[in-house]
Amino acid sequence: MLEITSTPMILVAILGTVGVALPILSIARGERGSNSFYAVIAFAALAASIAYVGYQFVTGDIAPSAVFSDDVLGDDAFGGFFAIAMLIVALFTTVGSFNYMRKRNSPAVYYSLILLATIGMVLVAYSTDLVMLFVAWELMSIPTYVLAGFLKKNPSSNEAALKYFLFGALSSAIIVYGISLAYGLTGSTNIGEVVRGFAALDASLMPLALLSVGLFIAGFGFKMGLVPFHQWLPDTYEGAPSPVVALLAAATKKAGFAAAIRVVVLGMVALNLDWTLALGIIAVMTMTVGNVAAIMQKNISRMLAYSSIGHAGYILIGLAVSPHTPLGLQGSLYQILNHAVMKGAAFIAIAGIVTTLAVTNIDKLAGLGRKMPVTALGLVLSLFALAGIPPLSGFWSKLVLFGGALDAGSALWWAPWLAIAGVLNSALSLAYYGWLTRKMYFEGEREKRIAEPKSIMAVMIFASVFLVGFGIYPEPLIQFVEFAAPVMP
Amino acid sequence: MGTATGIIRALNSGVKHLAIKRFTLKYPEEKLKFVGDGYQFDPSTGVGIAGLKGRHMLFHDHCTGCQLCSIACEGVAEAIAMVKVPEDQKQNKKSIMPQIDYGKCVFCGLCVDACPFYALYMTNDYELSSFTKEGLIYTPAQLQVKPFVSQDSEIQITGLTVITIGSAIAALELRSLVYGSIALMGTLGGIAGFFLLLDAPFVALFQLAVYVGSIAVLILFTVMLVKRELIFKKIEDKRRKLAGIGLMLVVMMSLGAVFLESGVKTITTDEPAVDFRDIGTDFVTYYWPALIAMALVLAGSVTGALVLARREDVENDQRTS
Amino acid sequence: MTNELVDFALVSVALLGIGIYGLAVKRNFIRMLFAIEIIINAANLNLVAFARFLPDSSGQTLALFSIAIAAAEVAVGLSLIIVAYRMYQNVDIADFRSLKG
Ligand code: SF4
Ligand code: SF4
Repeated sequence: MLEITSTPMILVAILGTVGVALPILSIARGERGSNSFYAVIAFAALAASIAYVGYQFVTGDIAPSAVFSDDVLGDDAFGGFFAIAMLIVALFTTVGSFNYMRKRNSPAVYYSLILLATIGMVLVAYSTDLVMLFVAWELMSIPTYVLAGFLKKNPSSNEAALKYFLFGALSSAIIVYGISLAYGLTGSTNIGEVVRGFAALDASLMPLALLSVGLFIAGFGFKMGLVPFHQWLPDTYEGAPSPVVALLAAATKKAGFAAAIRVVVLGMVALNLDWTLALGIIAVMTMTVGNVAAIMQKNISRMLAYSSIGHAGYILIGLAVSPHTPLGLQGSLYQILNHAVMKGAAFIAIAGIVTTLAVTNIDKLAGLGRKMPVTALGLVLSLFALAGIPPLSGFWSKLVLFGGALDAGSALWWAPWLAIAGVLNSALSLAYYGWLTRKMYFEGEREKRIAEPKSIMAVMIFASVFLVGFGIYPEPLIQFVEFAAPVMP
Repeated sequence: MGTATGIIRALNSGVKHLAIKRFTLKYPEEKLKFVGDGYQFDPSTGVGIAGLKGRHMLFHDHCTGCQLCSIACEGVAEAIAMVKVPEDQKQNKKSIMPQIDYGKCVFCGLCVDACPFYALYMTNDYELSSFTKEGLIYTPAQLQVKPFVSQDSEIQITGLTVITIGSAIAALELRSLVYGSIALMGTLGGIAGFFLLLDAPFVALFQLAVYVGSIAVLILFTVMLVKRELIFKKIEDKRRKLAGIGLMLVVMMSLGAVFLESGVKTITTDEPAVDFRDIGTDFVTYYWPALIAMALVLAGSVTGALVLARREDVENDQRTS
Repeated sequence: MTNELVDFALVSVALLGIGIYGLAVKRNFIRMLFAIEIIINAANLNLVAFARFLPDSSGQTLALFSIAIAAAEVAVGLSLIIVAYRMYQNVDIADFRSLKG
């Protein structure tokens, strides 16, 4: 039986209690509480959680990544790693919403839903049982449906939420179907036992096992935004409130990858199939579609939405080559952490731009570098980090990722091509990031500087320090990732 | 002459049989239908309760080991032997209970009449065939198990399938959304019927209470709330519909083929169903973190749905006042 | 149990197919919600059927979770529809901007 003092349960205790308490508190205060009051409580809860997990990593008081466990939750470094990445993004979102939510209704519920969604993602990463994974998956999804549609007077927010809801509900239905097959074939819902059961499966039942894994890929793929399951993503990212998009793009996506690593990658090893090629093809398709479509966008949210589809492709490279080189999963995890910070910061920057200037059209962003220097700098740094320019942190993760693909070349003839495709795509992405940067810094009249929201500036500064600092001195992050990446059985 | 009339009469009788109901059952696809649970006897009144005389069922907590059943059988078939009960099982004073050899038993029921302690009854289970002689000898432990006798579940499953799938199609295709949502209730109720057939009464109840009782009703209310004339609006083009039907057929065929080709086809079980109390044990021992997460899901969805559905202008009034 | 597992599995497959058809063809949000509910029910049927034939109790447990979660999901989905209805007085997805790939 799982210890009540294990890390995930402590996080549930902190975030869940605060998340449930916030709306009650708001009713008790006659719904008059200011936005900042609830934001500070949510911030404190998130900061306490991050401190708790971080403390365990620093003291080394954490089990190495075990991947499987006899319980529904595995208290290991893999889960802890994802917990930190997601909590960082949730902190960004909370801080970034500070200004965004100022004049809007029901702030208490807004922050409560952010906390609930966050604990859902964290639990997804810790799950070692399919039932737990499914419930956590819904705990992550359902609050984000509401958050995406939180601007009730705004048609595009509602449309975003409806589309997100439809695809999200479909993905969870598909996941249950996949779980039902996996359970039927192996008689257990524990992922470890399912994988062992798959390995010992009768040949006549093999197609069903394959079908089940295929359904898992499709179900998780919806959340990760893999091609061809990505159609909802640009509309949703464009319409939903920008701080929420930061949460969606930078965190829920990552939960999809965590689930995919726990279930699909390891499950497929058990099936002993040449599945990696399929993942490789999806990876190349995903990054190409994402980056090509991103070039054509006029709206910065849409552009970043496509770029985040592209990034799902990069991360998938690591999963595709993972059976043959430890660098595969390490690169993926590294990229996941970096992408969480970069994308989170980029969308928070957009939230800042929206709250002050109320524009998202790229043409209207001319001269942003002078109007809002800190936000623009943070945005540009994140964009260049996304493109993988040295010496920013994003460079190192791509290096490990593509290095992993080259490393696997001895076992898989097509693996180096993944790296080549990745480099080409990065070059492509540099084109539109560069175009955006030129717009912001070299175009437009001499405009006066306007007041930037302090909370947005705080996120920008944190992200810039993170990206530049770990770009120049990547050692600690690399060690962190090496510790957290599970070793393939 | 004789030949011709013979042929005509044969044809006549053949044609008649096309119309009249068949007397035989297509065993094993079709099974006998029973009334009651099998032959029983009440020693206090001395009255037997009519029923099929099939395999016996022994109630260990009643049997005293008095051997009367065995004595009754001695003059009939000598099918009953009194054997020692293993120590870990329920005992009586003499530690003996009847063991019945169905290679010998003639299903006369005299042993049931002889038992003064309500310990021996007969059940509707008549499918006792075995590949070995030993397989026909039922120990007290085996006699204790209540047989699972399916009566006409084949018919039930066909009927349920028709209801479930038919109303699923109706839910999607009926022009009116109101009727559509009522049809959806049919699907959900049909699924609950399947759960009952699968010996999952608790899940069936939950399905009825939550799905049919609240989800479907909620949908119905929403549909009624949304303006009437818009409900009947239908925008569909033929091409997409054809493509959709094609997709559906591909999914059904391929998945159906996978299931039929795979080893799943022959799986049946004779084991008794799990007790639904086991589910409760599961919840508190193994799945308890999921239960907590579930509670958070419900909390989040309720507050979220309330905030979304609340009218903003009313709320603003409250704020200014 | 005289029914074979495959009987139930085939019913579940048929329901899955109908659900996919609904999602592909219908453009009314509530209809699409119906289709998703049908798929979830197909999965639940599978779960309980497997649980009966294994026999094992965790399939029923998951089915219970799945039913409860569907309720939570539907509540949120319907409230989104009500918001949309207040804005558009309509719930046809086609009236929104088309899905831009
Ligand atoms: S029913 Fe069978 S066992 Fe009982 S008395 Fe008759 S022959 Fe003997
Ligand atoms: S079954 Fe009845 S008659 Fe036979 S030994 Fe037991 S109590 Fe006596």
